[in-house]
Order: sequence, then C-alpha cells, then structure tokens
Amino acid sequence: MKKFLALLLCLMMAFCLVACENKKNNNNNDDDDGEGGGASKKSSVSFYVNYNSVKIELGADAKAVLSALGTPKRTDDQGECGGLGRVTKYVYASLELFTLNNGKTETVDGIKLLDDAVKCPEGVGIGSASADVLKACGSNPTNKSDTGITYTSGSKNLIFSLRDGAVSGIEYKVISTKK
Amino acid sequence: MKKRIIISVAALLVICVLLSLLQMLVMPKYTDNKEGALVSEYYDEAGDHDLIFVGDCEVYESFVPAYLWEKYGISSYVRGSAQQLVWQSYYLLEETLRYETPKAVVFNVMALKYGEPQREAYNRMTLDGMRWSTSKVGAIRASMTEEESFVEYVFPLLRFHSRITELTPDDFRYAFRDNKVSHSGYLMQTGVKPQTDFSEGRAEVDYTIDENAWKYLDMMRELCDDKGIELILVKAPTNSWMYWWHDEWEAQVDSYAERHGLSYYNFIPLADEMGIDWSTDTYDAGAHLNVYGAEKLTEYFGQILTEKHGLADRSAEAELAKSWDARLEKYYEERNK
Amino acid sequence: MLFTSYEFLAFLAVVFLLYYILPKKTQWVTLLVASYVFYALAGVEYLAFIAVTTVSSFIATMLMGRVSSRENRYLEQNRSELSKDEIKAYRAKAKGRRFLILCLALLLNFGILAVLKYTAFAVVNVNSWLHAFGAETELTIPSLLLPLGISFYTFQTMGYLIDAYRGKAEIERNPFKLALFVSFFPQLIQGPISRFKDLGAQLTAPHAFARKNFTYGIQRIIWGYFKKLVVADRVLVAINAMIEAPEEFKGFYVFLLIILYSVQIYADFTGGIDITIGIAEALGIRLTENFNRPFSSRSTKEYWNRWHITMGSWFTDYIFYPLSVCRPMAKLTKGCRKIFGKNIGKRIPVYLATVITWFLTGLWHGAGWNFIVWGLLNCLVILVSRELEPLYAKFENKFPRLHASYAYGVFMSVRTFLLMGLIRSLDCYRDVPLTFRMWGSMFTSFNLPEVFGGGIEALGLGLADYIIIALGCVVMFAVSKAGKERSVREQLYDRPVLSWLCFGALFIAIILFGAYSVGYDASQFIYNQF
Repeated sequence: MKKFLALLLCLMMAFCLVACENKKNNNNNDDDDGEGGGASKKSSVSFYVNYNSVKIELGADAKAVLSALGTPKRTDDQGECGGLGRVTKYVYASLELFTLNNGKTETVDGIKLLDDAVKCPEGVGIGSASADVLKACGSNPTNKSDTGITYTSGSKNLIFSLRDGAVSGIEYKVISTKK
Repeated sequence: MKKRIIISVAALLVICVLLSLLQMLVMPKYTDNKEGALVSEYYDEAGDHDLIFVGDCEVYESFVPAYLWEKYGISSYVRGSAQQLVWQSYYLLEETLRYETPKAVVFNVMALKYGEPQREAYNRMTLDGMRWSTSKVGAIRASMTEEESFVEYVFPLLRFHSRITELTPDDFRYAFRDNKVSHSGYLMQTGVKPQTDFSEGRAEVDYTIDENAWKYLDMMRELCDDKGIELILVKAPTNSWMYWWHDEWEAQVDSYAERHGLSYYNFIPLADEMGIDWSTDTYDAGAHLNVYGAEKLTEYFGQILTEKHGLADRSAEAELAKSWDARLEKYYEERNK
Repeated sequence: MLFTSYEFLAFLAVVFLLYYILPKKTQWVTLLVASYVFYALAGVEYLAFIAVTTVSSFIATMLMGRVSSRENRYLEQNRSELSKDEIKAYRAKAKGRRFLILCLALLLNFGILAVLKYTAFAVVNVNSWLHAFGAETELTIPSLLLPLGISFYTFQTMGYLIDAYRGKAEIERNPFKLALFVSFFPQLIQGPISRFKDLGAQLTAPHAFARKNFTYGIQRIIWGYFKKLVVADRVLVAINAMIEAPEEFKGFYVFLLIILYSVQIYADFTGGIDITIGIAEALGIRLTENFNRPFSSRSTKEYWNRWHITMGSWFTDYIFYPLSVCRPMAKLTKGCRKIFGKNIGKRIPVYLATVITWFLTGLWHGAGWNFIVWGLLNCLVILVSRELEPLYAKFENKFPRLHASYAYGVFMSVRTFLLMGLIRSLDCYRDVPLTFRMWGSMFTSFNLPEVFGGGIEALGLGLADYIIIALGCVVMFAVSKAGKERSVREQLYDRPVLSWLCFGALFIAIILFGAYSVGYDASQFIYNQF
C-alpha cells in the first residue's frame, strides 16, 4: 500500500515536472512592449542616460523630461506618413532627443549621443573600443558586426555604430515594429 | 412553417442590408489623411498608361503624372500608398497588369528597408482600396500583422465598427460615393515648410535588406520580364533625418540593379542638378516634396524616360489627349488655388 | 481559442454541421473529437493532464465497481453461511477498499491541481517567511504550466468520482464517453460544473435536430455575446485604468470601481455561461443554470444560492456536508457541547466547516491571499448574518409592513449588491493591504468634484461608451425582469417577427458596439484563469 502511494506521488511529481517550462522573457521583462521576435532576449543594458541630472529613459513620458531639460538649441519635427504621428527632434549640446507624438501621448522615442560628454550608464561612450562595449554591456548582444553592436530588449534598442573598432555613434531607439 | 421561413429569410436579408449600409458608413473616408483614399481611385482611370509608379509616400508625393503628360506626353499613373511595403507593391502591380500593360514600371526602393509586416493602419490604407482579386488576397496574407484577421478584411465593418461613435459629416457625405483626392495617383501638396535640418538620420539595428524584401522585388522583376515591361528602380531625392537613405542600403540596391541589368536612379545627389530648393520645394521640412519640387523632379525624370527608356510622346493621340486635358485642368485648378 | 475569436465561431459552425449531418450514434464521438481539438488548440502539452484525469478517474471508478460487484457476488453466494456481524465486517472492508481507491484518485488529481496552481504561491510565502526570519537564501519560484480549465474539469470529474463512490452516479464503462464528460468543450473554460447524473447520459444520447432547441441555443449565444462584448469588455477598460494606478484613483473612484466591476463580472461571467449553455442547447443538451438573477438577492446567503450556483453546490455537497458529518467533526461537536453548552457547542463545528469550505472556495478562485481573504470575508458575513437572525426576526415582527414593502426589498438588494461588490474588489486590486487602504480612502478622500469634473475621462472611456454601458445595463435588467416567470425566448418563440427584431437588433448591436478587434484588448473571460 505504501509503495503504491509512493508510486502515485512519484507519478504526480513527474507529471508536474512536465509542466515546468522556461517562461519566455516577454512576460517578465517590464521593458517589453510586445513580441520581439527571435532577437528579443533579456538584455543586461539599461535604456536610459543621465544628462544634466535628468534621467532620460526610452519609452518614458516626454513631457517631464523636456520640461527638466529646458530649452533646446533647436528642434525639428516631421510627420509619419498618413498622419499617424509626429516625431520631434530636440537638439541639446551633447545629445539629440526624439519624441513620438501619436496624438494621445508624447513619449521618448530615441536618444542620440553626440559626443563623449555623455556616457551610457554602463560607462562606455563615443570613442570607446568595441571590446569595452562588449565587456560593459554584455558579450551576447542581439546583433554584432564590424560596423555595429546592438542590444535589444523588446522594442528598446541600444545601437553602437563602429568605425575602425571604436564607437562612432550611440543611439537608443524604440522600434515598435519589426524590420 | 412556411410563414416562419419567409419571415426568417426576409429578416436575414434586412440584417444583411443594414450591415452593408453600416459598413459603408463606418469605413474611413480619409478626408483628413487622404493617403488612405489613393488606391481605390485607380480603377476609374485604369487602362492606357505607358508608365506605372509603385511605392510608398515618396512616390505619390514626388512624381506628377499630369505634369509628365504635359511636358513629355507620357501617360502614367501612380499606384502609391502610405508606407506601401514591397509585397504590396508587387500585388498592386500584379493587379494593375490585369487592366493594362505599361511599357515601364517605376519602383521607389525606400520600402526595401522593411521585410516584415509593419502597421495595421498602413495596411488598411493600402489594402482596403483594392478590389477583390487573388492579388488582394495575396497582399492581405503577406501584410497581416499578428493582431489582424483575414475575415476583418472581408468584412471591414468588423474592424471599423468602433467608428460608429466617431462619425463625422464626411462619413455620411461619402458613404456612397468616393472622395477623390489625387491626380492620377499623385497627392498634391502646395504648402511650404523649408528644410532646415540636414543632419544624418537615425541608426538602424541591421542594415541588411531582408530576404523577404528581395523576394518580392525579384517577383516584381520577373513579372515585368514576363510581360515585356521594363522595371526601373528609383530613390526619391528627399533625404531627411526622419526618412534617411543609408549608404549601406544604397550599396545593396546598386549591386542588385547591376546584377539584374536594371536601371537605378538615386535622385538624392541629383537634387541640386534638377533645381530643387529645400527652402521652397518641400511641405514638411524635407521629408517629402511639395508640388513645386515634384514638378522639378518629374521634369528631370521625364527627360530620362524619353531619352533613355524610349517612352514615346503620345500627345498627338486625340482621345488620350482629351482625357489628359481634363485631368490637367483639374490639376491646375488645385495647384493654382 | 477564445470564445470571442473568429476561429471559435468557425469551429462552432463546423461542429454544429458535423454533429447534425453525421449519424446520430456518432454524435458523441464528434463532440469528443471537437473537445480534444479545442483543448489541443489551447496547447498540445495540456492534453496530457486532462488525459490523466480521465484515465485515473476511469480506472478508479472501474476498480470501485469491481470491488462492489465482488462484494455483492460474495455475499449472494455466502449469505446463508455468514453471520450478521461477518456480513457487516465484510461490507465495511469492501467500503474501506472503495474509499482507498477514491482517496488515491482524489489525491492524484487534486495533487496535480494543487502543485500546478499553488506551488508558486507556496514558495513565495515561504520566501517571505524566510526573509522575515532574516534568512538570506531564497527558493526559486518555479514556472509551471497551468492547463486550461484545470480547476473546472478537475472538480467536475472528482464530483463524479465521489458520486460513483456514494452510489449516486452510475459508473461509466466506456472510457471515451467518460473522456467526453471530462472535456466537453463549451464548459471547459468556465463551467458550469456539472454532475454526471445530469450530464453523462445526455452527452452520449443521440439528438435529432430540433428547430426549437437550436433556435433557443443560438438566441442564448447571441445574448451571451451581447453581454460579453458590448458591456463587459467595454467596462473593463475603465476598471483596468483604475487598478493599474490605484493611488491615482482613490476615494469615489473606489466606489465607482465596485459598481463597474459588479457590472463587468456579471456581464462577463453570465455572458460566458450563456454562450456555454446556448451551445449545449443547440446540440440538444441541457446544462445546469449557473446564475439566477443574483443581484436581486436580499442577503449574502441568498446571493450565493443565485451566483455561480454549481460551484456553490459542489462545495456544499463535497466539502461542507462531508466535513459536517465526518467522525472527527462529530467528536468535536460532542466535546464542544460538553464545554460550551448545547447552544454554542452545536454551532462551533458547523461554523468551522463553513470557514474551511469558504477558505477552500477562496483558494479555488486563485492562488493568492486576496482570494483567501475574499472567501473568508464572505464566510464572515454569512456567519454574522446567521448570528443576527434573531435580531432580524424581531425587526420583522415589529415592523411587518415595512419589512414586506417594495422599498425595503430594494434596500436589501442594494445593500447586498454593495456588500458583495465591496468584498469582490479584492479580486481587482489583488493585494489585501492595498484593498483595505482603498476601502478606507472612500471615507477619507472626498474627490467627487474631481471625478465628475473631468477625472472620469482618465479612465479611457468616452461619453458614448458610458451611454452604451448604461443602455446595456438597462437591457440586461429588462430581460432579467421579463424572464422572471418564463424565459424571454419562450415568450418570443410564437412571435417570429418580434423575435427576429429583438435578436437581430442584439446581433447588430454586437457587431457595431462590441469591444473587439484591433484597438480593443480582446480580454479573456475572467474565470479562464481558474
């Protein structure tokens, strides 16, 4: 009888182990806006920069950020085809901020670093070696080539453009649609 | 029992008619964002074009068929739409070739940056205007995003029913008739907003043009070959930071054109030569040309089409000239407003 | 497959077609295949679990049946040789064997349910205790599959097992017919929890196409979709806005949430059940009603006889009564009477059984303290009401006319509605301290001017939406009132023009005002997670 009971319990446990699965990162990652396809892995990078004591985070509400940053050097805005939204570029001393206004909300759509005065939270900036980028941000980026290294988490992307083994451009970008 | 059947059939008919009427009411009329009304306008003018343009907003805001006719006697139509994806261009072309066989097809290569379905709103703007055919079915299946259903294209009421609480006077005005917005597919913009920012565009994650994009470009090329049509690739002269044409893409398209013996014209470096002034010839700070810029481009391209691609001047054909005269009149009426 | 998906409608159409075209004796096979296809589309890996429940239940009932038949055969053959005591002892032994088989099967199936549904909850709590005691280690929270409808089909099947043990249900000797009872697709997602004696034979009996049944079924399905898509899914937008940012929506918003959630869960749950019962009816199968005008209840006890009826009766028949009459409880009753006297003594065991039943009811709803507290609060209200019964009776006697008046009846219904809604808000906030804080804010944050001065727009619904919700509520109320004595469908059946008008209007309303398609979050039925 005890053996039978033990067997039954073992069967139950084995059965339940079958139920274990590695839940996809989408459900756990707050950064995700949706299915990122095969390339979407949980990334170790942060998708924000600190500029003039203002935290500018990708996907955040733009109003507060723009208010904190003050008057930009210049702005330029362009519409999406079909009137679906407007993207505005705010140019500051060391970075460009892109916001997307879809008629209801204005969110931070992109951040482009212009010089090495602003660095990523991971400590790398324009001019850093590509090896340093991999060391600081993770050795398993979503995309890697001679001309660029990208870390993706859902719709958030951190793109390092490379030239001759060094970072020539850094951009944070929301890509809500696939390639 | 017989009475019940009659009542049931009558009731079902009434319901179907009501739903059809409601569908006509709630379908977007695109009076504000006119891009959505473009595709359906083709059928009124289908036939006898020597040149068909396919592609995205760069095509329907850069090339002016009326002007092309006026200057060079070339009969053309622009089958463009907002963010028209390359497979949509293929299926639109396939459908167009059921109505006519042009001498040449021009495809704007900007759409090659997309290899997968993008946004439902743009899909609707391109696909809802198509008449039902196997091409439309193919276009829908290739374009649907995860949130979309085929049945909602068959019965658009299912998609747009939420507009019932957002109806405007235009919905009633254009419920049973079309709101004509284009001039042979060209969407005129007369406004001026100078381009002041000439900085480079934003970075991309991956500059490799997707296999799926090449696949449909191949299909377009093969379709043209089968019909004896010349496929010409172009890139419009606009190059704002919002719609930046990267060198990496240029290299791939150039290589493709060379491999397949296609003519490819990148008008970006030729903007100066054609006389485009970015302070007067754009209505949205350089993202797209306005009518003044589009006419300059059309004139420049028209010369190429005549001299290098043998498109004939047909202005002597009385019947064709008569149709185009009427279109020209409407064109200048809006242009000179 | 969601009930509200196009795929499901196409699936349903195919099932109806095949069901009535194929030979009548294969109808149950069609339903079985359809049910397994439906389940497989939710996840092929889930099939193993429902199969285990089916197979283990089948084996258990067959074994119990074998024990019973051996017992009867033996006694028949040897009755003359055995004494009364020997017969009694033999019967007890056989019963013991059957009880053991039952327990093993219950242990296996409830065990699977418990492990899959409650392991993560248990681990989270263990980790909290470890932290509380200053431990640095932490157990990993496992990520386990939760098969679709596991709570429903497990309870339904275990009910069958228990009934078979008690001799109240005939043992099904065809494993495939039993599989159909376990997996019958319309009720897989959210019930009702059926009894084998009611449903078993119906599922496998042949059903000729009956125009009336089919019509009634389709009409009920349409009614269900109206409630679900036009009312429930629309209201959900506002509810989600409030629970996603509770600190922003305090005070009067909490009261609004209580009202809206009551409307939402009623429309969603009863809408889903209407679709379920409608599908079954169209197939010629009658399922047990799960709701009976619950918001007209004048007390919590009455409410739970009208809301989620099959769940309530399941817990009553299989948990409460057995607990109340089991030997340990009998001993406890005896002991309590000795210590506390007859009056209090007899109450304690009943109340203990009630508390345990409601604890389990809460737990069944979800693996969270909010659900447990929800269950216990309902229990508290019921027990307190019971204790106050003499007081109520006094009031009744003192003011008989008031008590019998319509206004007083309305007062009692509104009171019950609000009380149940208040407790139900634990389901929204999902956090017990937060819920209590929100309740408190109703009395401490006076923000009525803010709410109606534009704050309500932040909930994501426009004026048109509120009008549609209000009209939807009016229609639901009117139909409920009109169908009190005789169902509305029956009243309309002999008036085909009016019938088409009503259901045609409902159908068009669903198409036009339903919260579905791109732009709407096509939400699952709330009870899917159970």
